[in-house]
Amino acid sequence: MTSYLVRRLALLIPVLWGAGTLVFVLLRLLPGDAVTTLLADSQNAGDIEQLRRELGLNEPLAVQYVQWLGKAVTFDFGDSLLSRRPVLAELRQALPISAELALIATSITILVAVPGGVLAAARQDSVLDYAARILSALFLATPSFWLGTLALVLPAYYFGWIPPLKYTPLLDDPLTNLEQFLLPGAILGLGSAAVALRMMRSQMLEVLRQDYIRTARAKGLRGAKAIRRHAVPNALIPLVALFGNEFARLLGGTVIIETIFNLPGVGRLTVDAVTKRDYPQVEANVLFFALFFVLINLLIDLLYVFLDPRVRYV
Amino acid sequence: MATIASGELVGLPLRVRRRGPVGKVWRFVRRRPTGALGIVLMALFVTIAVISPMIVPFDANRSVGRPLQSPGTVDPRTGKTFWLGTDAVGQDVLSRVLQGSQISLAVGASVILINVTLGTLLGMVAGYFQGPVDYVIQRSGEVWSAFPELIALLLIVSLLGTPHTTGGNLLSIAFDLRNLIFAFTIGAVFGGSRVVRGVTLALKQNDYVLAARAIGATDTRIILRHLLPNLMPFVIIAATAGLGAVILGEATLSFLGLGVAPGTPSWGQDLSGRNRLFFREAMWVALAPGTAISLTVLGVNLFGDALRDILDPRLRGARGRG
Repeated sequence: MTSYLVRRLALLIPVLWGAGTLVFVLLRLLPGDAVTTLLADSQNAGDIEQLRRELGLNEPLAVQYVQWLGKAVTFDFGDSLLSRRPVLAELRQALPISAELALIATSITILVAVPGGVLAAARQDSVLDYAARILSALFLATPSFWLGTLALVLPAYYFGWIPPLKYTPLLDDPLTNLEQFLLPGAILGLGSAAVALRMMRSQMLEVLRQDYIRTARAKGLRGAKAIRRHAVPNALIPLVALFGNEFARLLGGTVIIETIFNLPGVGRLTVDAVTKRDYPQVEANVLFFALFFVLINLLIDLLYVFLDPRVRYV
Repeated sequence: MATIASGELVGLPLRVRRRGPVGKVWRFVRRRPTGALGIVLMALFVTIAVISPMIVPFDANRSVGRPLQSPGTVDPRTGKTFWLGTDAVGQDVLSRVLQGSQISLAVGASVILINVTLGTLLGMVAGYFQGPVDYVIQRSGEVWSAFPELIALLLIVSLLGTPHTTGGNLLSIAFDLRNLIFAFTIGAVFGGSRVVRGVTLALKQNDYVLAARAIGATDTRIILRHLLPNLMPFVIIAATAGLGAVILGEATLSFLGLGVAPGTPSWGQDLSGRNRLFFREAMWVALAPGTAISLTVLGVNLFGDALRDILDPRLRGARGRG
């Protein structure tokens, strides 16, 4: 187990190095740099040169890369080229927003997908089963940006209701904050629930055909109890990875929903940074996403030791 | 139409129902209604994409009437009807929705075709030979999956340039949009090759591979003659599952203004930009492209599900799955 952990953690190094290098190279290849954005109106070549020197953008690429790598290993990502604040401070400001959204969305996914999938499988080919399947097929096919748009337009059109569009932190005003996060969270959550429900349903169908379920029923367990005690926990095992992955993905920001609902989360921060060529900010955001992604996946794999007694890591 | 089969000649009460083509179609519709719906939607989507240049009532790239005319308004100048109204700059919504299907199909189909070829090749090589090639492919895949998807697409498209297309036939559109197609292909190939690699690893343990090797078959022959045919169901399933995702991805990127160049008739594009300012007053501008995306992806997914039920050997015979 320990050696497995060490090996998995050691794998972090090539993944982070690869992701970091990839983003470094891709960003430098993009036309224009932060100076072009900052001094878009200035025609003075002297200004441009000076700013470039200040920001260290006129060094040869290889030198910039080595400097960047040297600092990155100590988690020093420097300051944003635009706001001149440390990029980690910017990230720390945006992260709670994406985290709250991810938490709400993942909770909704679990609350909808698990009971929905269990019911659909337990009553296979019933009206309920068909309804669950058709709804999830529809949600799967509907882009979140359209759903987000409709969620803003329809209530405004029919009831004159618009969700608060200025971000309020949770601790300042929990109610306004929830009013603001619930709708985008639900849209993201229901979108993932469509995938999860289908998976839960097919897992349940498979588990319900197993011998141990027949045994449980044969020894006199009522149907509902056999399902609750024996089928659901086993069917849930592969879904844990799905939920974890979804959470990790959402933590990296959801540009679309954040843009539509005006929430200054990680997704918007990153896209803004890319369009304005704020290299340090993009690099830090991408690396942190990669770090979360790998760590959450490791956590899921470790969780399996407890969830599934058959899983052993050596 | 029941005919008596030869079984009865030897005294067996065997009656085989032979079905004509209509009977077969009817049986499929009854057994897999959602699959049938998927096929109908897919066929509709592909047909519209192919013939849209001939059937659009107005030029989709130009302003042809007053802005934000409600659906059914008759254009006083030409006497033609805007069946789905006009958008924020006076373009005909119906024409744009019809022509937008071309971009979705051109991008979706190209990405899937390239992915099927390249992803299968890479995955088979990695799974069959393992060793260093496998290691490199696996590690690159890991780096790629730890990279935020949208940011990766955004970086590649900004690097290569936002593509612009003036329409025409599907092939020329696909050529115009090659930057976008390339961006989607990278991610798709990594995902696709991973699936193929896994299946190859399992397949090569089979005795028929050992038998082929025993009689002296070369690696190429084993891969092409023995592994590839057995892999095809998985490849087809993964490809249709990917098609819906690529269509959604293109719409999303264009919605963000990062896919096709502004003004190009694309479903994602039509839900963004100036149009967004008027959704509250002119809901039809939002409803038409969004419905088009949903129905298309729904069709592709249902079609994919039916295909999976038929092709996946583990699900063969299982009814009403998924």
